[in-house]
Amino acid sequence: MIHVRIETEAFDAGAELDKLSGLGIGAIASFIGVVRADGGLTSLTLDHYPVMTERALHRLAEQATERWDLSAATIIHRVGTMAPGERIVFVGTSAMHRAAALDGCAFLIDALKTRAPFWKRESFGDGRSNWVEAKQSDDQATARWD
Amino acid sequence: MGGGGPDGHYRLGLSAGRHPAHGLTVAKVLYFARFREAIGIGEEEIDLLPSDTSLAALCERLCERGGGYAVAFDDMTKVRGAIDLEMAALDSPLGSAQEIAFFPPVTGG
Repeated sequence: MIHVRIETEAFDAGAELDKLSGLGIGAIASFIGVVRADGGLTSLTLDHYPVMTERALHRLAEQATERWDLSAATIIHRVGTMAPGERIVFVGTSAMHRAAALDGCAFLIDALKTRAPFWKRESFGDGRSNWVEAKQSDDQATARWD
Repeated sequence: MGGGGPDGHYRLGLSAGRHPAHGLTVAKVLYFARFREAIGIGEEEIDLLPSDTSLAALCERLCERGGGYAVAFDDMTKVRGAIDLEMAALDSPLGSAQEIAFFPPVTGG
């Protein structure tokens, strides 16, 4: 079961975990990304390429489901403007056993950082604002799953 | 060169594909993040180029327009592209692309 959402509103992580638990499968793993207050950051704005993003996230969820025999994979990614402490992304997986759920979840968060068309813009209290540069460490994190 | 000219006039708002009115085949080009900001528009149309034209060759043509285009395509190591909603290497041929996109390396998650 694959569930992908891209939305501006905040999501209810507990409700998403409940949906995964309701399947009655043995293991659930989840990851939640939160806006960091680094260096006086006051807001983070996420831009994306709507139709392509949805396709990319579906494809990644399908890959994870197949590779780790997941019973479910959920990806929720927010777009628009968020304040420090707000949740940006939710990845949840369920499988018969923990290793598959954990690995599938780790793969999804690594892959969506490098393979889905999202861009972050940071704004700071002193008026500065800039696009976040992609990190080589993120590419390396994704490559370890190849 | 493409559907634009030095006067900055672009045929916007038309859907990609064949337009019976003038018989031209056009493709839509989308810009995201710093590309949209530098160029000042999120989308435009260009006359379709020969199918063996690469994404990189299209970047060069756009860059030749100068202004925001020259800024956006200044450093090709920081240019990524997509053809018809799929990430594509810059040496990929455009083929019969209907929708082309340029953007910086992604930073989601």
